[in-house]
Amino acid sequence: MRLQKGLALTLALSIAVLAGCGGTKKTETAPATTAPETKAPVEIAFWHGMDPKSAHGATLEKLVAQFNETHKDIVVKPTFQGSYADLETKLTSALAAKTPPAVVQNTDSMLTKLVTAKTVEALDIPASEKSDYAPALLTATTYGDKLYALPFNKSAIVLIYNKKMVQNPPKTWEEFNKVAKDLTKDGKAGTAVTADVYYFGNHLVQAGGAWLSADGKTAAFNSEAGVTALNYIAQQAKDGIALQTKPKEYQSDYFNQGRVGMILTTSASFAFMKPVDGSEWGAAPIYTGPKNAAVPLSGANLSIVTGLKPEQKAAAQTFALWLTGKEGTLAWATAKTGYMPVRKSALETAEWKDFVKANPVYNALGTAVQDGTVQPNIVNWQLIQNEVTTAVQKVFLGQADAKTALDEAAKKANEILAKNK
Amino acid sequence: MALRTSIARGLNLPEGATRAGWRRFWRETSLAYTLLLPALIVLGLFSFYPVLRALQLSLLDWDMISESSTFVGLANYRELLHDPLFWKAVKNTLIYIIGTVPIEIALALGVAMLLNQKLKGIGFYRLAFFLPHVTTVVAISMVWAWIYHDQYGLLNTMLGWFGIPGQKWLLDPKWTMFTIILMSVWKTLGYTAVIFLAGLQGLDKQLQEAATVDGANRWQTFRHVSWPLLSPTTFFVSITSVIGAFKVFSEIFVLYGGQPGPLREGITIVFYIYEKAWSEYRMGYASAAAYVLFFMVLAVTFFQLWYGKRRVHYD
Amino acid sequence: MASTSMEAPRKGSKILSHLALALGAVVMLLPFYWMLSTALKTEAEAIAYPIKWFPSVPQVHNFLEAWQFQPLWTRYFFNSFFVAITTVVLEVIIAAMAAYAFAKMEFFGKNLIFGLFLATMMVPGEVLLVPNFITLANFGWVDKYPALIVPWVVSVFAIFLLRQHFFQIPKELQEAAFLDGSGHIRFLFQIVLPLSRPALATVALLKFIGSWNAFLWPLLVTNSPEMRTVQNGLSSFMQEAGAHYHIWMAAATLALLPVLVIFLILQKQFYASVARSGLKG
Repeated sequence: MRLQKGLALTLALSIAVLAGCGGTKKTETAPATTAPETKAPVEIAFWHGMDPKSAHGATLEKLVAQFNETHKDIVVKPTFQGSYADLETKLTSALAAKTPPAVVQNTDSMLTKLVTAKTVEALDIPASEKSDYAPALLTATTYGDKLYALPFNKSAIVLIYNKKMVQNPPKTWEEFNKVAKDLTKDGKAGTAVTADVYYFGNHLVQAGGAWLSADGKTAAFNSEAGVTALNYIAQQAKDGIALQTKPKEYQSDYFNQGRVGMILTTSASFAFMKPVDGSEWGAAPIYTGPKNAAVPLSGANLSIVTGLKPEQKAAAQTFALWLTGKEGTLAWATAKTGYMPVRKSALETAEWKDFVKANPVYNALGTAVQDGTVQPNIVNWQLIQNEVTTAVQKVFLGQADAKTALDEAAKKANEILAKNK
Repeated sequence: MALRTSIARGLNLPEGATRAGWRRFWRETSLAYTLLLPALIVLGLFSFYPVLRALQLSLLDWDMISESSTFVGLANYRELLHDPLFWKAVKNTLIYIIGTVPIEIALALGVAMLLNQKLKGIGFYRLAFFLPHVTTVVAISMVWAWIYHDQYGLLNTMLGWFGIPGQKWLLDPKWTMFTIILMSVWKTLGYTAVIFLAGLQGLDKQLQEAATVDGANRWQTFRHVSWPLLSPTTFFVSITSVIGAFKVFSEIFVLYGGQPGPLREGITIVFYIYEKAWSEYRMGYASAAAYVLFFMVLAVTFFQLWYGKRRVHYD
Repeated sequence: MASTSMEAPRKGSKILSHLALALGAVVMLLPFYWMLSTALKTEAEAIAYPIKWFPSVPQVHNFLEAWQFQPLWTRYFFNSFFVAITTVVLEVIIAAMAAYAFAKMEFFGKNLIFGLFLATMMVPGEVLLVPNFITLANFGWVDKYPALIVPWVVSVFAIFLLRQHFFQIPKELQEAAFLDGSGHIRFLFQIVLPLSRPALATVALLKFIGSWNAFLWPLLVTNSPEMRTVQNGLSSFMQEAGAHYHIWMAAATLALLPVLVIFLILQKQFYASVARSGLKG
């Protein structure tokens, strides 16, 4: 066997290539725009992450069919591409191969990457339409002074409670702890907490804190508010009034299993709440923190990719505006998806008000869509999230106190922010 | 001169061949390449080409979807070698290799010998040992999430029988690598055992019988007959297991729900590469990390080949 | 080589072997038991806490529900079967030819080429996804069967494994065959391959499983639901927290059955060479 010699040559070859590759540069040409075809309806692909087997995906498919029915000159082809993570992988590959769809659903953090890579169009929509969207939602999709996505499926963090176990949903942090303590017996606990950046973030804004300084250049989550928020949730776990979820467990699992009486979760999970003991569940607005009652928002948007033919771009925009328009968003929200109407005009309709009256859990959404908060839309935000999650876990493990852990994370966050410049 | 000889050896040129010998050599060469052609084409397209492309990418700052990229020379490599997280990933990967490969080989060989007997229900046993490798990862990760559960889990229950206090396996970072190693050994055991089994099936029974007739006991027969005869398989398994272990990723991804464990204590080299590429979109940087991994594996494989050359018995 | 070793153990060691194997089997069967029992539970039992070992009343209809839940199942099963079997057949042929060249022939650049082959095993697939996807897109293969098959028909692992087995075929056998006037090709197909059945079966089995369980790649290279595979179909049960574990496990059990059947078929090949023990080694 002279395999080593073969491998040695391989090694030498690789090094030679390494040396020879020095000057190469990646240059790819943009897809050429060809002459528009005549008359035939414009076909556009729409990729999303709403499973057709769930209320979310089923409703979406119905709406797209309705759009195709009413817009004879456009054919939208929706494709479910798996979870948001799968959708992102899929979209990235398609963009790299220059075969992306026209319209794509994206989360706020995914949008940041797409905007940075200049792969989605800045949207030019009529001012009358723009001013109709709930302003908080637009801040997440605006970069500089340009709008890159239209808010589509947006949910708010609410308090979900088991009606058999909780009669009056708590309204403040103190009340919540009291109720949770009463529920903690017979192997059950008050609530379920997850030691991660999101759960911490929900409480950070409630304690009056902010993620970043006003100019967005330095971390601010290690403020007094941050320490208060982190101590509040870590103490719940320490006192045993909250069960800590393990990897791959959802708070809603604990709730459905009847192990906890209350959870904080997004309204998008309304469609999946189903306590196994058959007891009823209710939803209330998230409790009020020591400083304010800011409601964290989550969900996804619609964007249009760059490099489309003009008529495709126009068709894509028509579709995105329609789906997130007054009628579209109303139909979407009233199909019990757990998502909120994203338009002010839709929120004021009798139809929405009647829907909320008939489905009281939606009262919990209140005016969240108007005055909710979103996470910062800065490059490499997910790296800062990793640091914060580590800090939160350290405190839960008792390896550091909240101030030390958050300061450490803030220091690393500032390094990341500095690199972004 | 010495260089020329070793190049000639590396290229398998026959030494001191006659003209007829050379002609035969070239005829055999053309036949061999005909046999290799399909493999060469497919590997060329889907392995060699992307690997060389990754080499080029590793010198760029590119997010894989932008039109433009910047040439940065060796900056990616420099940054990599100065990133403490990368070194942690290297350390964890080595811990994983040392924790899994030897145990796995020893256990798999034992299992294969047990399975290589005329026993009732042997087919059932084979299937049973192989099932972890076949069952979908989601089912496997759910079972292990339950095994490791700190209140109701199987592991803590069993420790309890011996009066050993239970641990928070999935939440406590000091156990992260352990949980991954244990699950991996369990998952790949049957797979490695099947390869050993195929090796054992190919052995010459007569030699073993001869040894037994000569009065050797079972251990002696194994030690002096089966084990040396099995060395090509052992060699194969140890090389592919080490290469596979260097690339550990999905086990962690699945067990910890897409995160590298609490406090990111379970990060490995490929997990690091995965995050750089798919979460940060730093394709150039990820390619650089992949190349560093590649050279590390190459060095270790080199050593194994060199060692194997002296120890493996063919034919 | 030839006569395959199949030990007939003594009685005492027989009992010990049974004990050890039974114990191991119990541990190994856990995930399968878990799947099956969850598939037979009610939704409440499936997520009950502490866990339930047995369903109180087996809910056999879960399987029917799992089947009806996804109208495209037949299509998914067809795709998975078609892709897996085509991949396996091509892989075994290609790998056997390549492995033979490496094991039994002397040719220019042999060690270099084998070194290159081995080196491809050392690259993590995660970095190859995007360039390979681009290649396929350039070929116009996206959403077509070749995209699911062609990149996977060569496995260096298989070539390496078969090469190791071919090494063990005695030189005398080759010399005898060549004296009888057969060349490399005839020797490979008439003598080497039949003698290597356990190894070929192993390679085929591992490839079938790999192909059957592939998830990310089929999702990446297909767009239309009609082109997706069983694993893609399965994953859509799991999109949301805690949704339908029992139905999902029923579906996962159904999806596992073909692999079990293939295992049982190929396992027979392990013994096939026993019958050929007449061949002198």
